[in-house]
Amino acid sequence: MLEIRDLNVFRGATHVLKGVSFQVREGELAALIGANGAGKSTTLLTLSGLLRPRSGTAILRSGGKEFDLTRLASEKIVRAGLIHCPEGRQIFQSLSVAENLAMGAYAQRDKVRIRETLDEVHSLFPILAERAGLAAGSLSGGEQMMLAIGRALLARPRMLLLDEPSLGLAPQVVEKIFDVIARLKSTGVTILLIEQNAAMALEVADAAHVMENGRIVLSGTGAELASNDRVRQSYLGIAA
Amino acid sequence: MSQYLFQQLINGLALGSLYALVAIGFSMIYGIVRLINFAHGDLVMIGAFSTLALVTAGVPWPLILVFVLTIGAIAGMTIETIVFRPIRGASQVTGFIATLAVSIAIQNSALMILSGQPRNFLFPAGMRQRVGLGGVNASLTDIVIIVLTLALIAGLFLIVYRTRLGTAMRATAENLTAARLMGVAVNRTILAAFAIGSALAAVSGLFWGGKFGQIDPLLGFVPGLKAFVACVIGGVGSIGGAMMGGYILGLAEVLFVGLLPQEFSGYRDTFVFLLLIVILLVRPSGLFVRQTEERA
Repeated sequence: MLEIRDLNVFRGATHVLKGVSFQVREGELAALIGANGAGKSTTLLTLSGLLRPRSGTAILRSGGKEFDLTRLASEKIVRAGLIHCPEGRQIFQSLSVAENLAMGAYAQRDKVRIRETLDEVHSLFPILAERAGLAAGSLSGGEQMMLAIGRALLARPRMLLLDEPSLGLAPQVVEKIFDVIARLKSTGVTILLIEQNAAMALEVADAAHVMENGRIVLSGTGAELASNDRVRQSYLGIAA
Repeated sequence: MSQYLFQQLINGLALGSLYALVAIGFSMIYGIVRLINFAHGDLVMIGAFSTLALVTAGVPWPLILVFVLTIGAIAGMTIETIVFRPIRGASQVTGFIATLAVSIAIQNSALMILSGQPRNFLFPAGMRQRVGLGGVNASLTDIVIIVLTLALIAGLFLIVYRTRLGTAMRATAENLTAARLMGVAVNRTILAAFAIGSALAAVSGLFWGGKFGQIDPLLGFVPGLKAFVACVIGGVGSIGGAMMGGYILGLAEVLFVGLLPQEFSGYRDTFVFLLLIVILLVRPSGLFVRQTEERA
């Protein structure tokens, strides 16, 4: 589904991604773990077209077509089915909850399908239906995260990039979010997940990649990495 | 209500309409690209001279209104595309200086092409008469200006709050990155904001000529500055605030002139800018924006 090859990305003068390569297979839930500043978010921003790499390619195979994400404008990437749910939620605070969800469906044209997807999102997160007319900025942190995910779902992703969906949330909310991630995966959506909570991420992930200083240093299945000594020590806080 | 007060009220509302039309576009553009656009007032001049040319060519008035809106939109989109888009992402100072450069370029091109000689500008005789309203009377021009302005503003609010484009514009103004992640082609949204804002400024130029009877290539300077003041009064970046700011400014000006002794009436702009200073001191984020809301 996604094939990243030798991606080099600079932010200002800083060389952030130093030859990143990995693949995500169709229908897979892949986790990208690593310390702060390792380059995880930069990777996602490059995939969604907000950052341009100095060199390297990122090929998305979606709906029988191939897209080179490093050359495509961000609005075209959304239309190719790759949706990025960014770090820190980034919902539109001054817009209503309903308007935020409508923005998620911005690139969609089929009104009937938008309506269906909206109903699905409302049944996943009933609170979003209850609060439809309220300004999104008035929601609690957990509700805002649900809104951010709901908004991404309205874009009908074939592949979803999730950046730290559990950051700063209460445990019940985190559980709910991971529940939804599992349901999404079961409907065939390919997911690339960045997660500070490495234990939780490795538990649900089919494949995982460990990033350090702008490089992928380790790849494997979620279970393999969860039992890897280096990962256990550095990211799971378990003494070897 | 006495005839005098009523006249002043209508006069102030008409003047406020002119300011509001300019201020709204000023505010929309600032809201979406964080650009204090000092070339915005020159769209008023472009609108005024376009009207004059269309009148001379014998185009009927309702069509003139449509043409002036269109000319303003095209002018605004042209400026955005050739000047502001290439410097997007540069520092705010760069943008600010670029808007001054555009303003100077437009004004001096107009001086070269049109000469500095003021031109007479008249609405059709039917519009220049006074109409009676239950014992008082007012200038029909002023009433037409007020009514058309309110209709245009209502149309604008429908676009901004009820359409997909308007939602995308508000989303882009709040968080450009997130809007891009939703698949919004932000350059097109920004272009739309320039088109709408500039169209309104150009129509203000049409009204300006009709109200004051004379136009010249530098007439955009004052409305541009007043639009800035109106935005500061209402809260920069807020469309409703800009509208209210425009009307408050128009009424305040007329009030200053009406209430102060005759010998002070030449200083009305002094009072306007005193008002600006007071508001910047007392409520720097504007009268209609909650102080906690981040706007600047």
